Amino acid sequence: MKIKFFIYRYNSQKKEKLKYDSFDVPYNKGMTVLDVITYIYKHLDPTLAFRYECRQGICGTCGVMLNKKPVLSCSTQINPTLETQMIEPLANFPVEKDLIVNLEPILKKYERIKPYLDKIHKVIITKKKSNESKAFRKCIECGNCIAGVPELEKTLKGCMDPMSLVKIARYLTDPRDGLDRKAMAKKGGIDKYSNELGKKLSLVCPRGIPIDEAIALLKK
Amino acid sequence: MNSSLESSIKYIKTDILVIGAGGAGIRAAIEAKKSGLEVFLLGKEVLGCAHTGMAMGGMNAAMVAPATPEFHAQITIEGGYYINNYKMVKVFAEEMPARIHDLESYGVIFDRLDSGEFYTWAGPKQKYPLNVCVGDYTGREMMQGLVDEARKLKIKYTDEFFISKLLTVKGKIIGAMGINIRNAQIVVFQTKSVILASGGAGRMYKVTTNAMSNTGDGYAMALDAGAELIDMEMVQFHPTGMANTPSTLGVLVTEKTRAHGGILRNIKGERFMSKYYPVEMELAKRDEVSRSIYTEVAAGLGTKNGSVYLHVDHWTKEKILEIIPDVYEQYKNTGVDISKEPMEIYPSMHHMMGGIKVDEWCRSSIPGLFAAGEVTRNVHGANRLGGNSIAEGQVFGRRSGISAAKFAKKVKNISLPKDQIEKEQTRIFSFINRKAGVTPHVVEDKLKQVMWDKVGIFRDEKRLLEAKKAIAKLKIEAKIMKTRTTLKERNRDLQDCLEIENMLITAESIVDAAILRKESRGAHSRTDYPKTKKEWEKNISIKIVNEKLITEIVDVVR
Repeated sequence: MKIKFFIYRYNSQKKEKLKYDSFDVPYNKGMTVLDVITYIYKHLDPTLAFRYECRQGICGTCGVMLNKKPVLSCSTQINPTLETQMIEPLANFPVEKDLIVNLEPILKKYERIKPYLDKIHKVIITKKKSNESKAFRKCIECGNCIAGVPELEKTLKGCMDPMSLVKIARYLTDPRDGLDRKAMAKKGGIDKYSNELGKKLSLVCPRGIPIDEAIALLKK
Repeated sequence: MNSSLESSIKYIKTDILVIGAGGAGIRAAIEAKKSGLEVFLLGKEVLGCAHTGMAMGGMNAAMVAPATPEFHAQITIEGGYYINNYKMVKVFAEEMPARIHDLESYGVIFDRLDSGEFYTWAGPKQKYPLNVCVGDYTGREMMQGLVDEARKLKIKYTDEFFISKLLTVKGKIIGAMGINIRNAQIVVFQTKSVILASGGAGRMYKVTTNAMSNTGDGYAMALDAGAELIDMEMVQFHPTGMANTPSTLGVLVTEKTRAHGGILRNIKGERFMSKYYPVEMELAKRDEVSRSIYTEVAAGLGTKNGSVYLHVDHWTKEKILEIIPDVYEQYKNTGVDISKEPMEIYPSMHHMMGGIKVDEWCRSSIPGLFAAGEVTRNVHGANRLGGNSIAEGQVFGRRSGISAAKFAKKVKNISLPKDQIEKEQTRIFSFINRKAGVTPHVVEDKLKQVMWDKVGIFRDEKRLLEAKKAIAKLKIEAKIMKTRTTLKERNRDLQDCLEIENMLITAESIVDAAILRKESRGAHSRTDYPKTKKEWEKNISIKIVNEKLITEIVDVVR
């Protein structure tokens, strides 16, 4: 059995027009999105650009849109009941080439929220205190949450992106951090993040970070 | 040399160049930056995505009594079968607790008990627990802390950059060059000192836990620059790599699973470790468990996928999600619920114990070249204890930063060797420019098979000699590799060509050393020399002389 995959093709350095190429890929049980991509690269089109490293769902570099939903390509199996499918680069990022996005603009914005432990207090960390930030510390900066909010360019225009939001929550819940993270979140437009959107984002996150809880904490 | 090509080279001057942005590399850059000198950090992958982040279970440090640094050092040497560099082991164990505190100051929070004391667990040989952890994603949280700190310190970096050659003048390292993976732009770095922290070489094996970037670049470049490597034959196979789907073949299942009561069974349901190591059982050393699993499967007691079972289905789901949440996810993503059914596992190439010869201050055998992390031989000897890898990267990452800065303060930039730069530029573009040739992944796939079949868990002279012959043939094929596209932007074939050449010379050094060591010790198991011999309590040094690999038996540093 073969599945037809439409793949997003674009080369920003050549300023070519965006196109979709279709490839017929033989399906094997348990096949992942990454298997499809590497099959195409190896056997059908050596110019295809994509990122991956770990195959373990932990490095955070292989995010793509599968049928319009952000996924980590190494940890997501193909649904064989769909005869045609689509793989695109992560939404809401500028595309560098094919399935590779340019991370720079997002990381530039990320710097503004001081994504690090700052003005450190000395605190004894207990299991309870450690657990408060534990879920938010699981972020691997894969960008799937950013790609998962169509609202980012509309109702959330000018607001911080969800990856920044999670990082702010991560340091808000870290008793050692001395910055006013809540003020930072407010400035970043936390009030425009609805509870509903938070719930949606929690489902998008491949690390299972409760982004809705992060939003609630930052709003409190 | 085509002059238009030459003018397309970009030149960057810096004091200290750090090659590799995993745990050791970022830690080195953080420390080097404190010297006030200019530091430039390079990584092949997106910042934060290096293989260090794949480490799961934990890292060893004597944080909680009754564990002491002396105990940590002692079991590291016993676990390494007495060919570790004792001086390095000593400073490693002594300095680890301080490095844990450093990591916490970078944001990491290791798991705690209610009292605030570190949660620790015991890996193989750990009569007193040494592993501190963050769930079963310790490496990733550690990477995030290091990346956060690097951002805080505004360390200059370029990610997705591939250094392909170290530049030397009169036997001293004076810089390095390579390509930007985005656009094949050649960049030459002129530096006062270089820290190599480019990690291991798992990709040369068909089944590996390693990330794609682990292609032995550091071993190959160090050899090419004239440096010595030590004990390259010591290749660790982690007993438990995923084995239920081809997509995830070899992906790590942490030792933390067995340390918390995970049970190994063969197809008949027998707890087979009782046959091999009835006292240690599942927590025998990695080399021991890997050989046991291999033997079971070879005897026809494996599954149809050629694997054995690892059970945690007798744990509560709560315990699974608390102790090994990522292992749970990894299997869930392949359609297996490990709270209800066993995992299929098989050994997977995991770690290079051997590497660049350095001393306890990370100085290699050539001036100006420092190294830290898996690319070095260091503390592990013939078998690495779980939890010692991402740990030693912190101790020696820091030490390499101090050493490289001290060295850089004493020297001046030396003018660049034009001939080497031109030659390397020609080599790089030859893969694009030649009219016809071999597709790189064809060479890579053959190498992976050779290493897996002939340089694996059990070895013998016949198969090692076959491997040597096969690698020699592949080296000739590799000379005429040809990219399937001439595109400069994201030409993955071009990167593959450069990486394959590095894997081949690394593979050759492993095989040469493995042929020479006529005994079994730790990860090096020779069926034709099954005994560990006292007279072989030695290291094997390997370097290139007149374009040939030369091996030499040397004394262990005590």
